[in-house]
Amino acid sequence: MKEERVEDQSRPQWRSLDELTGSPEYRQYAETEFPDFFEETFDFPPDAENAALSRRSFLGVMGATLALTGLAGCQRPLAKILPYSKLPEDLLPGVPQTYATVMPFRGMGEGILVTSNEGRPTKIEGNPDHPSSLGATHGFAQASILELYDPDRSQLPMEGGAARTWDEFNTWLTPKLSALRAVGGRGLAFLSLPTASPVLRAKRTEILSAFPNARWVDYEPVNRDNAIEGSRIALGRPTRQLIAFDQADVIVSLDSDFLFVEPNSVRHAKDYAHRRRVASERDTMNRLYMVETVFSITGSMADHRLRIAPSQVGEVARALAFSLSANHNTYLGGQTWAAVRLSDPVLAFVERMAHDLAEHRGRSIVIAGATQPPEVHALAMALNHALGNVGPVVRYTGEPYPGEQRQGIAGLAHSMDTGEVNFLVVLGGNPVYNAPADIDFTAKMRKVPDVVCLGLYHDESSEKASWHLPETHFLETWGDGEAWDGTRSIQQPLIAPMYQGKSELEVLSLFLGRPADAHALVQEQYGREWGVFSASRWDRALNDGVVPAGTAFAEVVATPDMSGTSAAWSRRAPAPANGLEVLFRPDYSVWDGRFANNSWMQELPDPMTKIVWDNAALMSLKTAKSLGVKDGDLVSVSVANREMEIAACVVPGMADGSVVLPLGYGRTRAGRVGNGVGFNTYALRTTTGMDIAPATVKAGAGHYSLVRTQDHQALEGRPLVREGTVEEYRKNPEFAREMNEAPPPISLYTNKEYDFTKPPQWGMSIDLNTCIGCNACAIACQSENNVPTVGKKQVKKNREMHWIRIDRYYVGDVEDAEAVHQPIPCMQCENAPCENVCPVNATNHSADGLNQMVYNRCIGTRYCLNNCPYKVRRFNFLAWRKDQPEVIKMAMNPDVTVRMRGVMEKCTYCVQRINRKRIEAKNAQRELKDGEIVTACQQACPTEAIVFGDLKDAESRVAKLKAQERSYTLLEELNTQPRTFYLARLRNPNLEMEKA
Amino acid sequence: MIFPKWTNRTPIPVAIGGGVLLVLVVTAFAYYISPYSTQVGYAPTQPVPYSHKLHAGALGMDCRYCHVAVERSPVAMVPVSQTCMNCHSVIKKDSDKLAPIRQSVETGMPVAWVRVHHAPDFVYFNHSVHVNAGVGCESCHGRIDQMEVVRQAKPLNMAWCLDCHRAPEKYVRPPEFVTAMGYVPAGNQLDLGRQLVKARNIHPPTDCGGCHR
Amino acid sequence: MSTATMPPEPRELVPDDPRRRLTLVHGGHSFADITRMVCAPVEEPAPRGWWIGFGIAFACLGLFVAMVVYLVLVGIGIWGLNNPQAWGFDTTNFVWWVGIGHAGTLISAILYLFRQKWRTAINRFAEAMTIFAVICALMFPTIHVGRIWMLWMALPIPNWESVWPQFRSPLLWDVFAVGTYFTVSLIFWYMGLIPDLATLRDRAKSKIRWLVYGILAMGWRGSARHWSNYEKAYLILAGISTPLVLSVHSIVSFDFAVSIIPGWHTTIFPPYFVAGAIFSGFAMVMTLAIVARRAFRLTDIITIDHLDNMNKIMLVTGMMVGYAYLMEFFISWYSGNRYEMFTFVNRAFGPYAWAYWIMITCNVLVPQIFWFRRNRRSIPVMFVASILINVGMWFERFVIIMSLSRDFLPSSWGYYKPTWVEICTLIGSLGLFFTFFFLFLRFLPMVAMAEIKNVLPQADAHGHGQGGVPAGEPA
Repeated sequence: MKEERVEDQSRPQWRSLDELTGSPEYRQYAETEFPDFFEETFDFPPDAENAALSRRSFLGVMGATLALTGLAGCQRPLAKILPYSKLPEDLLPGVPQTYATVMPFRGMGEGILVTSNEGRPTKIEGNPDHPSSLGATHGFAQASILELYDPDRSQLPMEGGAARTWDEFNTWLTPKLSALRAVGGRGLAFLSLPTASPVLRAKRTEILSAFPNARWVDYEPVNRDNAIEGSRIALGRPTRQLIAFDQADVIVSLDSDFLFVEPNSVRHAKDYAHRRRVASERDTMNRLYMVETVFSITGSMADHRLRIAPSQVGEVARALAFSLSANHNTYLGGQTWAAVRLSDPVLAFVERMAHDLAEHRGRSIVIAGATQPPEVHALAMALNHALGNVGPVVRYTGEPYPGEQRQGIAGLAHSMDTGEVNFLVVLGGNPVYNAPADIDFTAKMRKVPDVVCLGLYHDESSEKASWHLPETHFLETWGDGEAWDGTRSIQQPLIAPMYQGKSELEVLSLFLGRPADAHALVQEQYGREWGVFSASRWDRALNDGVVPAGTAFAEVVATPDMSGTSAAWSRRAPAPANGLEVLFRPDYSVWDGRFANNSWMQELPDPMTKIVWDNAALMSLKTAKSLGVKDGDLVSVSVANREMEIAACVVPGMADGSVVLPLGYGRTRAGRVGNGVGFNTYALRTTTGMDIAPATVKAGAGHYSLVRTQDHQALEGRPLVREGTVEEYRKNPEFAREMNEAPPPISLYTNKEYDFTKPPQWGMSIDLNTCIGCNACAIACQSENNVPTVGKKQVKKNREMHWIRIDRYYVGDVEDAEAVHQPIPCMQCENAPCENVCPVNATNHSADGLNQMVYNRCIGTRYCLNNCPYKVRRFNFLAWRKDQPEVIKMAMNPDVTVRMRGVMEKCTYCVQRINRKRIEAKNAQRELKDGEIVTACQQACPTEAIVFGDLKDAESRVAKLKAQERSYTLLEELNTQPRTFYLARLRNPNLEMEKA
Repeated sequence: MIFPKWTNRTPIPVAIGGGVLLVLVVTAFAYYISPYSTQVGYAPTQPVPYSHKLHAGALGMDCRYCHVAVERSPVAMVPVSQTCMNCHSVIKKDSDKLAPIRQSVETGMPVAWVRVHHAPDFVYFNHSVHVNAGVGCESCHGRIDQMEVVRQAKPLNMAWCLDCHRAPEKYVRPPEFVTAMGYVPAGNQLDLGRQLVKARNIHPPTDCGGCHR
Repeated sequence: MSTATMPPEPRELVPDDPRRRLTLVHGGHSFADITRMVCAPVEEPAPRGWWIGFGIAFACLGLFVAMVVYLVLVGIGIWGLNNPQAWGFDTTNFVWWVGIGHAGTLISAILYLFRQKWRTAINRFAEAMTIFAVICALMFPTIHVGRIWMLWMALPIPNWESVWPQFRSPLLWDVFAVGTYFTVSLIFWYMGLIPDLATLRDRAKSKIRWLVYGILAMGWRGSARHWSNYEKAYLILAGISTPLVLSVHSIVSFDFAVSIIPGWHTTIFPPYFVAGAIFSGFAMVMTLAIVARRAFRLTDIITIDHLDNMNKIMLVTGMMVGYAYLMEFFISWYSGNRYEMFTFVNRAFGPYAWAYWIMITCNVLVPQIFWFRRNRRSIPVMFVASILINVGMWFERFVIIMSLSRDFLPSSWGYYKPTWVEICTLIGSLGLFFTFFFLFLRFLPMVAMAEIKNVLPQADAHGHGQGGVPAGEPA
């Protein structure tokens, strides 16, 4: 079969890690793939695990009640209509409204638009006018709607474990404050998250002036200290980089996952994709060199990828500098960069990279990742200067908030230990959970008599604090926020605080003894800034979602101080002597742990490993072999005599000799969803090894069940994902279509129900060349279409419900695997196999080419699912929403039926959105415009990889894409005539490199 | 002999009689469970004895005076209490029948009207598109102007909906007559209807997705 | 077996002797003996064995009911079904039972039309078995739907939504095909029962039996007129049900053949399924006959020759099935279709290989033993074989349905494991079947007395036609 594969595909395809050799590991891997037939056959109740997880538990009398409702269907329930007593202005019942606001995340404000139905926010979209979003979002923004309605959010102030009121808190606080004021706040310390809110910053300075001796520390486990310190070294002052990826022909990323993990990632992705989008073989594409340890989604987009241990990434940077200065007459401030000892292939890689960079001066960019030490960032900046990229590609602004978080938290802990702190206020963070392990924050906290903890949840820190205060969700309160480039937005509430929460702003005003509500505070602040408060300006700010009149940061011109940079390099710690290294990085789903109680995020498969409801120690096949473990085995990792057990996950294409530990799991007080999910890797994260640390890893005892949404990692030589190089594309634009040698399909059954000639005829294009696999579409769909989550155990049984899934296949060499992503929504086949097997007509076709699914007609024979070659149909095997708390219902989209158990469901191209726009157009007696109807997945996609529209309208974007040579449909030989089609993926390799 | 002779004659009558009985029972049951018996005529008592007969009939108020959203929104919108007070702050301003309304306006708490016309949750009916297309209020709600207490006039079952969706020309009116009660088409409804359908480009969906999502 | 009680059998030279026919009934019984022998189980108090068997069967039936209630209350999720694999035990059991339900009508109708007189000994309970098997079969499509309370929507009933079922769906064809088959088989069976019911009525001692059998016998008095009408009707019904034997399983096979799933989408299915059905049906008849003839001392009526003939049929149908297995592989290779090829390689060597090889062993290898006369006539051998064949035929359906686990997109490949609920449901359905069957043994004549008497030597004094040697005489 293998030769055949090679023929079929542009590059050899393989099935799973060990298939190539059929080695013993392969058999082991196979075991995980076909589990014992009777495993779980006799577990009773069938879902013990879920039963324990009450939210998902389903056993019991639910069925009975359901059956009863089924029977009682005949007599009519008395339904009430409760109209407003007085109609709120500009609200029309039944018509959703959209408001612009801003989401504070990763130390910046992400501009969003929130859809609200009769006053309850239900959907989040990007704000097209906001520079950090341009209309797209990442999954976290989408999922924060569920966070708002999380029943586990804390609702009351608490002293110890006991419920209190705000008044009681005030009476407790007042004497303490007066005492503190007397001593100018000595002993008072604040620990907060870095904020991008000018108003809040002003308030903080106010506090510090009221309590001059108080200390203020910012700490976030995933921070940008390295980058900021790097800019200090290189440019002598804390500086922020604004990178225009759409201006770069060559991108060299030194372990920087700029398409997802770095702040402003949505904008980065948009700009990056702009240079990957090709309309014809004459178009050019950028080229991405990725030097990294983990297999990130940015890495999966790379044209050339070098997998290397985290500590070696810096050495590569140094080698690059050497090569550029020595071989490519690039002036690096007269500093001579000693040649670095690296293996020949690596040096060859570096050499080509240098060559490519030198050929694209002023059109290239070198970026270092947040996990790399400062000197690497400094060197990257220096290189950009030397290559003349500063200006055309990268611009500098001041760093508005250069907190030194790592030293900060350590220092704070120390003074807590020495008793200098007797009143600690934790604002938003969760230090007990995520502070470096070596400072033992919990123990230090015990030494502080009074600890007040403001948080969205009564979490690990609040549990240890003397007082816990409930915080408002960002959709509940007023504030503001700065985009990455400084553009300001007003954060306006979409709903009154659901519980007794207060925002940090309000709490701080409490400490100032001048209680005020956030709205007043924000207006006051802007009044101060504008000289005089202007209502019209305010309204425009609210309406547009950005404060008018260029609020962006001023650009700063800085020249690098090379001597400082090289000095930093001379101070650089030597790479650990050939031991294993661990690399800590935020998780693709729960970030630093703050989304741990968000079932949407927990059930969202990791874009690369496809693991749900867990994290794991990621390692390459070689590393796993050397440790004698296979996928799912427990390994014990120890860093600086701290040890933990964690499941190993074998990832092809990862750097050997290193282990990647995603953060954010193993929470103990996250809530009913997040408690005890995964492994708490913070246990190994110390002040000296916040990002990279030498470690010893050995096989542990036992096996752990890692659950993936995709058990099978390879294409089996099937032309499903079609990709080629730019060269191949230029030689033969039709290459993608020719990858399938199947004969043209002919149908004997000619009398079709519809001829699909009358416009509109809906279709969807998915560009595999720009899809970065970031999952934003999956979450957007979940939010738009009320898609339920089912829990780990059910996902293990392949019962996940996502309407759009992103298949990830590994391709190429086993060790140096490459990856491809393929989003799979319903194909809306014109000859849909699912339709003619349904005995009750529950799924059938509409005149405009939708493959409709009528939930109220479905009896659940599941025949359609069997007969769907794309397996995009999802069945409600159980009452997934049985134990769903009432409040979650507020997150539901009222335009989409909530499906009951026993019915099939699937993607409908967001038929509710189509209908809404269709009716709007009809009422206005006009035709629909192209781009007027936008599906949820399309709207969220940061790279505009998904385009929806009318195929019959020759001018529509989707029709133009369909006409491209790269376009192909999945399994066309089945003659299903899908409406969803793909644009083949292209890679843009450096040809000399290919030869090398 | 076990059985008397007459038993030989029993089978045929039994067969026929049984058959007839079966047919009767099935028909009766079918009607009993049909919307014609379960839905039509449903007329719950409302918290306020509001008379459409008086307001829409005798006083000839336009439907849209109270049901303001009907042309712009999926829901026709049961009027907010304030709407009542627009007149009743002057007329009959201390009638005890209106007590709940006044109270609602003072307290801001809604008046709990009882829903009369109820579409299942999986049906997404949109008033605006029907009204704008020229489907008269009367066509679905009957002679509201003659109802002291609002009662459901039509079965509102799917077959009934499809009757119009498949042949709108049988029912559509010129837009100006949408709220008219007891409307009689000028001339032949079918001819008029066909013109309207053509002129206003009315093609109601008969696909499931039109109403079920 | 109780042949020991018999005089030396003349049969040794018979097969080669065209002038002679086998005696179908041994022991030289008179008409009265036959009646006595057949009525005995119905009239005498039940043996302890019956009570034990019935008790077990009834317990299993209880289990079945419990499982169905649990299913309806909680949902399909209590089964092991999942995304690529949306059918499993449910459909497997359905097809298996339908298949078993084939032998009865085949024996009674087709063999009747072919004048295979030996059928008379076994047709009655073969038919009974058919009816019970089809009842079991119908259970599964009914309970496997997600919303059983909405099942009526699958039937063409006029309704207030003016929506009709989807007549292009094979599942709907099943409803009609199996429904028709069941109805006709039932009528056919009842027709055949009437004369014997009359016999029971006339022998009845208690008032109730007298009344019940009386009503059921519909005033049969065995007059010449009755007989001639009866013969006509029987012939017509035989004619009607013959095509049904072929149609039912063809249509059941369409459930798979009409789909596009590799391993399902193949035109060989209808004949292949019918052959398989007859195969499994005979195996089940065999299993039951062996026990029944022994338990109720009917070895003279259901003789070793009957079993021998049935074994021959099993050998033939077994080979047909084997041929089909072979052909599937050939066609998938010949088609050059990437997905078809993979599916069949995957069947034989993939995760479900074990099931595949069980199927091959039981359905292709086991019947080969019937090439040998000794095996064909050895009760223990054929008993074990018939049971193995039924197991094998269950796995055949299972293997076919497991094609779902790996279809077109590798990303959505999965693996299906039954839960304890599914296993209990299967056992329960056996309980349902045997409960019916035990009741039948107890309350209805398990052999068609009237017909048996036709094939007694005495029935044809001048020895025309069958000219059997009255047993006992040396040849």
